Amino acid sequence: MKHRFVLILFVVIITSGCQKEFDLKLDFSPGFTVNGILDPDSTIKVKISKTEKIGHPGEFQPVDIAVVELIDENQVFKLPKQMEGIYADSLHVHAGKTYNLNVFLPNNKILSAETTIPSKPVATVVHNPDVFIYTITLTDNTNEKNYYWVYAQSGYFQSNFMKPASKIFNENNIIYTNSVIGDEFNRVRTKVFPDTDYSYSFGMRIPDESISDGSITFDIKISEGWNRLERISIVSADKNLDNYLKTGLLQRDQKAGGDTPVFMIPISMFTNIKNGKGIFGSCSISVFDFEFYNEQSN
Amino acid sequence: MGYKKMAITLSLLSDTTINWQLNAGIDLVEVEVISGKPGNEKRQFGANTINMQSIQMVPSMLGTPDVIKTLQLFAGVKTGNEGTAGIQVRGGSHDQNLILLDGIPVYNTNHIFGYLSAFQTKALKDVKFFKRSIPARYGGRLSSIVDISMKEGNLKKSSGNFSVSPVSGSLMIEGPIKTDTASFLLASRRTWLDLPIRAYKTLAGDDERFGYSFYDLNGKINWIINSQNRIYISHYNGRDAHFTYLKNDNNNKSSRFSFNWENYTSLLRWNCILPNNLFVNTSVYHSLYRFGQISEYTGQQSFKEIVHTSLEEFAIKGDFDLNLKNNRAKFGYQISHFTFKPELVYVKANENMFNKNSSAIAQNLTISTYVENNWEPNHKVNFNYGIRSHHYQAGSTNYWFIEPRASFNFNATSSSTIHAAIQQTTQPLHLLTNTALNMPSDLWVPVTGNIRPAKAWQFNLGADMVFQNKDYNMSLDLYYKPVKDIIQYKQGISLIKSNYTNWYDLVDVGNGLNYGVEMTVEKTGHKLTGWVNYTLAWAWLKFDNINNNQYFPFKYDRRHDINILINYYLTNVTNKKCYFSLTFKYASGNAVTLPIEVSEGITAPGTVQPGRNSYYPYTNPEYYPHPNNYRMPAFHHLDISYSTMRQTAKGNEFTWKFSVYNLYNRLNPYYFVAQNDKMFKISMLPIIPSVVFNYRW
Repeated sequence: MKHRFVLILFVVIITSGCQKEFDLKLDFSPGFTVNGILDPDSTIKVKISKTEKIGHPGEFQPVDIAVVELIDENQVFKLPKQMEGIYADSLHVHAGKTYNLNVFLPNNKILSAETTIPSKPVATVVHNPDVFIYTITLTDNTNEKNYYWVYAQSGYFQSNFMKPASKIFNENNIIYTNSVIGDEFNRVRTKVFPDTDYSYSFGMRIPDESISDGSITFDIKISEGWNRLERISIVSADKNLDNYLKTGLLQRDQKAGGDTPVFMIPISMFTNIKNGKGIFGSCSISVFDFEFYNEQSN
Repeated sequence: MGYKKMAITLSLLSDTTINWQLNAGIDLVEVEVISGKPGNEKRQFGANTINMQSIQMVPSMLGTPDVIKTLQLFAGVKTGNEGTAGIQVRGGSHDQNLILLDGIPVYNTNHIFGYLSAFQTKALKDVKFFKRSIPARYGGRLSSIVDISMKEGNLKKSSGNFSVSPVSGSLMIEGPIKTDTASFLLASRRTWLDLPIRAYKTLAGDDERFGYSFYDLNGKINWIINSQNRIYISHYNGRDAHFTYLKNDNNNKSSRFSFNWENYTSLLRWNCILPNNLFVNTSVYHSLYRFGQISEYTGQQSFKEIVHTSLEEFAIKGDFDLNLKNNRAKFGYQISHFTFKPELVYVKANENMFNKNSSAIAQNLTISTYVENNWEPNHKVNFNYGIRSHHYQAGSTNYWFIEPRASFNFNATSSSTIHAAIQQTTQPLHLLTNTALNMPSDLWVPVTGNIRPAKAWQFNLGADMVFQNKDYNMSLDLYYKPVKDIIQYKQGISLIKSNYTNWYDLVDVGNGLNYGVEMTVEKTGHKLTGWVNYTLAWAWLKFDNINNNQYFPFKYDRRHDINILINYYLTNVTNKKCYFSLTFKYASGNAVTLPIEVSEGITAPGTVQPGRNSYYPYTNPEYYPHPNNYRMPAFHHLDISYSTMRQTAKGNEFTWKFSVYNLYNRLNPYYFVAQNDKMFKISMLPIIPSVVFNYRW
């Protein structure tokens, strides 16, 4: 009998310190999300949807009853609704100008934000096929505060006998480098290639403080095999978009890293939408495409 | 009590010092022993003096008496996470407490990730705890002082103590080196936790190893040179180590991972009595805390990474006491040299060892002086006032601070006292932590040219009442404490940092604001002793880059705390004592940061969309209104113990202590984790029974 008591006590102790499902009883009421990124090379598009309680896995409910205004200095443009929750116009924005967005919702709720369009990055990208290295030279625009992001994608040609082959980019690539010119927050020390010490998953951020002499040159590598198509995109983001991209990556890395709350403090996503969530930002992009179809065939 | 009377006639013509030793000689039979008050034994300008007997009586997890966990039962002192041995005093984080062992700062006081503190109660004499007002003779921390004194060793006869608990065993011996002239004390403690696995692996002939161990070693020598001069030498070393060694005989690969942390403190003190009632204590000490983590892989390609963190202090200090008619003056100085090595990373590859961030090494100097006076013009009024100056040198940057300290007691009636205190404190070093635990990997970092010393003011107003006939006393305190220039990691910095960034690139500097009310009702006397206290408190933080520069709750911003301690003697005679003890702790839940809202994301410009609707393939953007936005459920547990002591004819004592931690098995959440759209609470400490045996001779 004594042995049984000890056994039961042991089992109670082992099993009672455990993991149990818990209702957080969050006091939540849905809010509104505004997402719009202005780019001089694209037309204007703003998406409005409702926010959801944490853990929501599915679609976000679009908001179709909003009145959306884009203010270009003294001119007001009303953006018509095109699709569910999407308000768009064929207008083009211009670098250096400041734009305000007002979203009017029922019950006199107004969401608002502001962005200033950065100028297009001045850069050259040279590929060295012998060592699979891209050499990037980036010249800073000293008249404005810049937040640069370097991205790499790969893809393929989609052939159609009726039309010329079109480029399809379907993969975001990790950037490998030996340079520490990029921001450290998503830099990981890794030795994938003998000539690179670091990698940047999903974007290498370069604040213009890093560009001390007006321009910088650095090398990156995407792979040592041949993709048919590779693209280097250099994005100059405004301050809002830069904050959004950075906190988004931090948030993603926290989840991907599997850190439990006891070992980290969660980060909240950046938003510049007054009375709401989401991002109203802007950017200008320089794109460099490299085709290796012939080299690979040969 | 227990000594023969002695009567001597003196003829005093000049200042004279004479020591007498009373002789034992009275046999006591069936005498009822009245215990000391188990906590607030003697309150002097904000100090609580706690004797070791009180600490032995308090029920504790795994039966191990613990100084720090006893302090957690005081009003205004909060536990961090359940079961851990850190203290948060009046809204300050645990680094804001100066914990002194024989006058030397101990920079990490934890064993087993904080479940036990590093102090062996059998080797200790008493503990003084200051939070109400901190006299000018103490400095360097914002919130409280825990001044722990070790025993000095028995000058008359050898004695000792042996104790066994479920996690560790300890042995303490003390005695004369030369009777009435010099004595020694040695105390050691070691865990059993690693021994079963070590024994099993050894017997199985297996080279693989894993386990966890800790030990403590205290030593002290006390030498009375003459009636005016005395020398103390004391040393403490405590170490925790976790180790894993795995190997694969088939491919000749092996991996070794270990982490360890340890404290060393060493002291040489000269105590001197000079003419004109002047007492001088001159001390030279060394204190070292270091944490190391080693990862090593061997095989076709070998790789070894060592992460090393340490804080080392060398100091000299002098303390002078001068007794005059209505005044007791103290003055002194301290010069400390600090070497900080925060999270240095060494990598060894192909036989070459190189360091990745040696620029983080810093050497700082602090010079402090103080003057303090205790003035008692009459029996109604008592002042303690003083000033402490600090010069902190951090590289080429110099910081100067003058800290006023003043407290005032007014005995309004024979049983009631009103007191008020004001003080400024500064702290020349910070502790960086990004977890909910007191981890050994937390970084002690220096002030720099950009990161200033933290600074706090505290205003305290209170009253004490004693009900002499009923053995009750009551105290009430109100406090208000604004804090400046505290630091914390920037948002998104994880415990395991994968790159080699220096710490000062990863911190935000901000302010804090703490205020509250503390009430204690204490029962003293014969059979039943204990106290009930309640704290109503607020603790806020404000950082430029967080929450739009608005205040948000500190993670230990707990509105309500209630502590109950009851000790009841069932039997209390010379050769037999039995007592029952109970503690109950209730606290509002900790504030934790939990995202509560999720929104639709975007595709980052310049990228292609791998998923649908979302910014990244893994997640949608998550939001919370401010850090520490969610309040965990209230935390409470009831602990009991029953102790029985029997004394032999020779005076040796056998004590058994039976304890149950968390009697009703309350599963207090330790933290939350989200899995598959559901939230789970993780609880760590269920009901834990334990038994401890103690033998004293």
